[in-house]
Amino acid sequence: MRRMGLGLCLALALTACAADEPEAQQAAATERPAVQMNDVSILWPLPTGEEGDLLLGPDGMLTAEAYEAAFGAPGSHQAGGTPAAPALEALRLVAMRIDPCAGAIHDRCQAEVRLVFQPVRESDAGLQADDSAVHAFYALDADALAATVERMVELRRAGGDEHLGPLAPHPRMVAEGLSGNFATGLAELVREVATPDRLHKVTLMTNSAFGKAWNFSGVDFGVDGEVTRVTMAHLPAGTEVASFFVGFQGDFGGEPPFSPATVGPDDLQLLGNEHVAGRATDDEREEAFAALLRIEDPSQHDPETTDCASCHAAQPIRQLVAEAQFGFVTPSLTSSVLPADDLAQLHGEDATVNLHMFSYKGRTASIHRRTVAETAAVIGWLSR
Amino acid sequence: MNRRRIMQGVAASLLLLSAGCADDDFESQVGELRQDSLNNPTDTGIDLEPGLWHDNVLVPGEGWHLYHFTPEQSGWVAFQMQAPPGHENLWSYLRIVDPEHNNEVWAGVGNKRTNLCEVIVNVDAGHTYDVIVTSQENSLLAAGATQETDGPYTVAVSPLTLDFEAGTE
Amino acid sequence: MHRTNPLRRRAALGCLIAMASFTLPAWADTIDRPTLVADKPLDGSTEVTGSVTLERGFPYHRYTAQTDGFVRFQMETSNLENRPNDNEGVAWRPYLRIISVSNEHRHAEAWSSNGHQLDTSTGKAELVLRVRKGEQFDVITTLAQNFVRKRPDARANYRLVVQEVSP
Repeated sequence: MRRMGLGLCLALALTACAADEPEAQQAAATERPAVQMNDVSILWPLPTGEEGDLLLGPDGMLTAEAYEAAFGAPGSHQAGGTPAAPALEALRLVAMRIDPCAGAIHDRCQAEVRLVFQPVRESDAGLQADDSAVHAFYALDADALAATVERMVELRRAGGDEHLGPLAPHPRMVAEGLSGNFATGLAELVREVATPDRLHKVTLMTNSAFGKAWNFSGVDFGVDGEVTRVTMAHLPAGTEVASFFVGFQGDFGGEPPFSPATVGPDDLQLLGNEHVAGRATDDEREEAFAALLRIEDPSQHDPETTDCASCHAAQPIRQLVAEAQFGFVTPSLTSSVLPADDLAQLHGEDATVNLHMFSYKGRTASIHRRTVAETAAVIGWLSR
Repeated sequence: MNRRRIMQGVAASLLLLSAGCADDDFESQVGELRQDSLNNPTDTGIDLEPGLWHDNVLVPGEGWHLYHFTPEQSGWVAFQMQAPPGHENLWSYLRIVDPEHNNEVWAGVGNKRTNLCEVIVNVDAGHTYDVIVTSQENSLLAAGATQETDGPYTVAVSPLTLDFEAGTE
Repeated sequence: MHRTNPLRRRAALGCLIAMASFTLPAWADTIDRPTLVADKPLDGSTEVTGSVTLERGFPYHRYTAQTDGFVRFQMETSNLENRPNDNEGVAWRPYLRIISVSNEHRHAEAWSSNGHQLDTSTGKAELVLRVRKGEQFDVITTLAQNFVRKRPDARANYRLVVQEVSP
């Protein structure tokens, strides 16, 4: 009965895709929906000890042919001599995200699953993730989406129906370990859903300049397998790599912080350099902060309206520059379907500049405010 | 061409702009170790792009790395090289050459406190500039000495907005 | 076998010593031991003129930044009015070298440029630095010819234009 209800809800929801209402207009919810935050945005805990071998590699999800088509032969520098994509065999799956309606703010709806891979290495403290990531996007049809969400809820309920709270390394996997029923079932689901024939986009974040610059690029795979560079919103035509540079002192002193500079209406170039921000007027900083909040708001921006570097850098710039140095206060997230405590950002604080929106820097789990907002929007969408 | 003009051209192309002081290049093979040099740098084949940082490592025998930069727009850029502060044998050194402009050269030796070297040039769109990266020590090698530079660095070309009034133009 | 007359040998030696004595003051002035032009300091945006001579082939000026920002040094050379045919009537190529005066932020930085000839009458070299107010730099204004020969070897007039800009 419960399964039918959820399936019906998803089927209906998929016929009516539209952007979620802006967060400011949402009223706080008091009852929790059937689908939880951690059902649609799943972060694997980084294991320690022998469980390190249980993190999934890309086998069966991301082929060497697709990876090479995207980023060249192993070791190939990306544009401007930015680092090569990590070795495919070094990648491990650290996160999965379900989006029932990518493109909603443009009145389009493409359901997809995104897998987040990172190169990992062993350390005394357990597995460490490098400060880079590969995202693989898989297109789903309505039936596949409904089945995937349903399976996720089932997996969670199989171990109890408690509320798992805000986004975090998945509490069930944290409790059971990667050899537990949840992780095992989830691995099976991932392999079923994320098949190479559904792969339609791969993106890359690398790190250079002694860990002070982050480089973003990506490719789209056409239906016939043709590969085209991801078009980056509001960046000059032909831009292959967009970069954020924090300066060698790590003090938001990059000149310029973003390369190339965006020509879009919402621009982080001013707040991305604390010295430039310091010389700006109050009005200019206010305007820049409002732009930053819009970039973090999935009802305002998506990858078609803002570039990857701005999106990934928004949180550290907000926390370490706008709030810490200029006293800006960030409004709390709200949702019409989720209570406020589900929207808590448990893994959003990092004294270092952490551009991981839903993955790891070293052993530090990083979940950005925008990811919380996006996940809430997904729950809202699925709950219609 | 008269002799003096030829001399001047040769002088211009051979100028060793170590910015501190400079000795003759060392190009010979020493033992089994390959030795590149100012006049025979190792061409990385990499075209730098504005604002993108490229990481690399200087190793003994390969102490002169050559990059290329062809700006799409004219204007001021900062060529920057950063190496680890305090590194024992890598003191950042940059040499920018405009071969199309009678081998005009700008060179810089980095700040010893930060090991950041910055050379600011007003570049012309469409010109290709040679960007040579090395360590100051390599420009001071005596004949027969081998390169010892062994360390990581990162290099970039970053656009600058500078609004100077007309000077000697 | 030709034998050198001892008298002529002594005369030649005396001549060498005399020549060495004559050239020593000029040779003490090198790219690494330039000569301060003390009466023409560069305080912020300014302009000075001077001469590169066989006696003072490596003059330098002390620049003090008056702003946080950037400074541009433009050096322009031209032949001496009474020696217009030097270098076949083509302006000497300038050589500009700048060395930072150490402070808590910077140490041992240096820049140089061999410049180029704008036309037959002028040669120009340009360097731009990032500066903080109060920082000092030594600006050596010589000729590429002098640098290559490692001694004063050519004569020219120079004009040095200093411009500061704040970001």
